[in-house]
Amino acid sequence: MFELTTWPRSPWSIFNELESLQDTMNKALSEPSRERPDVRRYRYPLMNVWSAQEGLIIDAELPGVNPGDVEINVMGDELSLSGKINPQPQDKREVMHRQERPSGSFSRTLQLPFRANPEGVKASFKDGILRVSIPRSEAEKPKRIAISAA
Amino acid sequence: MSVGQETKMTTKTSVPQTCVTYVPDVDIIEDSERIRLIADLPGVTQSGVDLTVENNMLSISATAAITPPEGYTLAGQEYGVGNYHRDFTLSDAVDVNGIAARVKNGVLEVVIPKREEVKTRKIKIE
Repeated sequence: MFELTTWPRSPWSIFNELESLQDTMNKALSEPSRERPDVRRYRYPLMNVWSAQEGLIIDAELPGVNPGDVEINVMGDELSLSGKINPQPQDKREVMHRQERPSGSFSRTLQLPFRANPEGVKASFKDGILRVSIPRSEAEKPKRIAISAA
Repeated sequence: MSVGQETKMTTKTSVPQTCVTYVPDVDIIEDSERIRLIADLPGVTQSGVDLTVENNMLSISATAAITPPEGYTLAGQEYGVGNYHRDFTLSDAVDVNGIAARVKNGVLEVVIPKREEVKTRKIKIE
């Protein structure tokens, strides 16, 4: 397990986090919950991270995004995703009765637990899930050390 | 918005036997001709959605199919993968038989046309 870190933060996001923390505390003190945490206000896109010796695979939830609108950058041990989602319709005759889906631009940077091999990074997009595969740089691959007989 | 509900899974997928049902986020947009309902269903393909209308109740049920990468173990999880369900009550002003839907990039768009008699018409002043 490693910590997922995000920045930049808006100065107001601290209130969201406090509110969310309070929420978490309240839930922890009541019955166990199966709710989907609404942390997207300060963390977008949400990610699931898979790990193996050769590197990491990151799944990011980006429903409705145009794959061409997402920028993926890998530098050293940092991965950043940025882009735009769900542009608002310009048609004035349309009335928005409900708007729950997030919209606007997003940017998220992850600190990787290793230096990546930027040439080996691959990304695919399927059914609203962006999957980025990040291999370790050759220098950081685990090496088996043979013990020589004395 | 995100009340979880446990359901038994019968399909043979990689998700556990009991899994959580999520309430998808939706946008509802109306114009003079129709109402569009747009729901975020990440991980769901066209065949994974079940859309029904019964007694003016439009129900969306869906199952996300995300294959975990082979040889990898889950190291960090921010979102759950499971089922989606949400019900909507339709007014009498819509044409239930004309409802059309499609899924693209994990987003379901349901187009609900209004009945001819309730559509706004522009009247020419002569």
